[in-house]
Amino acid sequence: MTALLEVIDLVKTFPHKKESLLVLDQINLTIEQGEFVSIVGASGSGKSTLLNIMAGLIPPSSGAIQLQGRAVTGPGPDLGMVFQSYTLFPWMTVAKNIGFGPRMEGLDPPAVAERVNYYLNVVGLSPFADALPKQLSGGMKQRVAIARALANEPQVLLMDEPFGALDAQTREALQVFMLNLWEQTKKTIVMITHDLDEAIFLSQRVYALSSCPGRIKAEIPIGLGSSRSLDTKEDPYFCLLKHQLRELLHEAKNDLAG
Amino acid sequence: MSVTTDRQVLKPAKLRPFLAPTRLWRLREELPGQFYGILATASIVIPLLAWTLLSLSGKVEPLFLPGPDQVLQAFVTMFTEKDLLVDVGVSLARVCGGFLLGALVAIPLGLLMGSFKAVQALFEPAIGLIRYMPASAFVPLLILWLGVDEPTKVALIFIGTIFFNTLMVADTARAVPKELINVSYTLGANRRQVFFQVLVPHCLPGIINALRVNMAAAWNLVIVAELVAAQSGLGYQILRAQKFLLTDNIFVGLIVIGLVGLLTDFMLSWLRNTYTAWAN
Repeated sequence: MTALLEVIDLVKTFPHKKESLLVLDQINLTIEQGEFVSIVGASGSGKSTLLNIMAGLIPPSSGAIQLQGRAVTGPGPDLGMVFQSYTLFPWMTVAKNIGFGPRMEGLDPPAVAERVNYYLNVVGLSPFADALPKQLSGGMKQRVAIARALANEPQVLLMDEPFGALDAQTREALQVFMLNLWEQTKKTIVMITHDLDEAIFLSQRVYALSSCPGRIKAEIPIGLGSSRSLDTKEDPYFCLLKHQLRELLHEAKNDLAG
Repeated sequence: MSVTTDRQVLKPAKLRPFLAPTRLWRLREELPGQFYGILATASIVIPLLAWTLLSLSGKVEPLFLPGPDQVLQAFVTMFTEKDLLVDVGVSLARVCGGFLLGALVAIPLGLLMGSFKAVQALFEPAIGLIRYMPASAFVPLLILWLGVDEPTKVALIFIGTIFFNTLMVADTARAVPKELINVSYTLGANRRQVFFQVLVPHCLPGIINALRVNMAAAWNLVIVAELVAAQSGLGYQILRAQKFLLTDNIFVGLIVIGLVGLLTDFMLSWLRNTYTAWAN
């Protein structure tokens, strides 16, 4: 059986003052259907670049991305993306934003409306269907961005620090929201974050990425089970995992210094 | 490196001054109460008052500076007896004709230049050079090519506004956040869809702004064109008034140009606030 999404021997270099700077080195990842996987790393680990390559937005220097065994040669509707910065279309209402993907696909208006209403409901923003993005709070904007990506029914949802621009309280609320959403939809999700709590709380598996160049330092299964809540964050096993992950990332940094 | 440990080092530090409060000179802040309205009124009333006093003092020959009453009277006469409205219409038609024809080319070209590096490379060097040539310097050439009639006037405004409009629209297109384009791709949009349904709508307020700025240049040039060769229009009226030493008529011409220009500006600004309110 082939995995849903595979990253195979991926290398990325950027030209830098006549030399080439190695950003990602021999990355191999396997994402199974229905998994929630996080990739954690310090800033400069190239984790955003990795996700952009996985989305087909940046070409790799060598190696490949495969979705259901097919090479990813560019962005497409099966690799949905949620960015850290607010990327809603400012001139469209919330409903129009969510309906963008289905409209591009050529669905007829009643089908688009049905899709929009369903996902508005999923993210709990039905009362704001006709609001413009500028009228929403940061947390609501990200919920709309998630709904917009889901409304397109992608095979994989890629999220690049989706809660990075939010305050601590909103961030935690959205983590719970995301957990429930994943349990409801069993969507395959790959999330990039630097927040270890967030990664452990939401994921089945976490990849730790070292910095400069980004290499997979470890792959840690998160055996927290399926009944998680915010209290899980105080669970001794949760703390142990966090400690382990922090040590790993620390080592990765020391490797670099030494 | 030394480490501060003791409590006795905690002497009260000498405070540096705080920012002094002010009501009128706060950077980028609103003015209190009616202040804005008062100052805005003053900006019209004070010059008008100075003009009135100067002409009443009798120190300036009315030939050089006619009084406001005299200008108002001339306005009424020109409006009722000399078809001032026709001249306004003629000038306005030339401005709009040349400007709209120019915009019809400038907007698509600017959008393409801002979106595709290839189009930018093809056009920007040439446009960058031509735009530094003053449009009024093209008048002799245009007369040679197109004669002294309407085409020359329209062409002058076309030349005088198209390059600035193109470059400003291109800048607007370049300012569209790359992530907005990328997210559209990941939502399944193709390049054509991203261009027409993301890039163009995002640029609309910027395009209207560019048109507003360059409309003023169009008004400048219509007068240049009419001063050179015309039998009608506001510029022609000003030139004629100078020949017959009707200084008050010159004033009427200038003020009317200002007012009509302001009106077109209000119209574009209304357009922007109505149709692209999301950008405010």
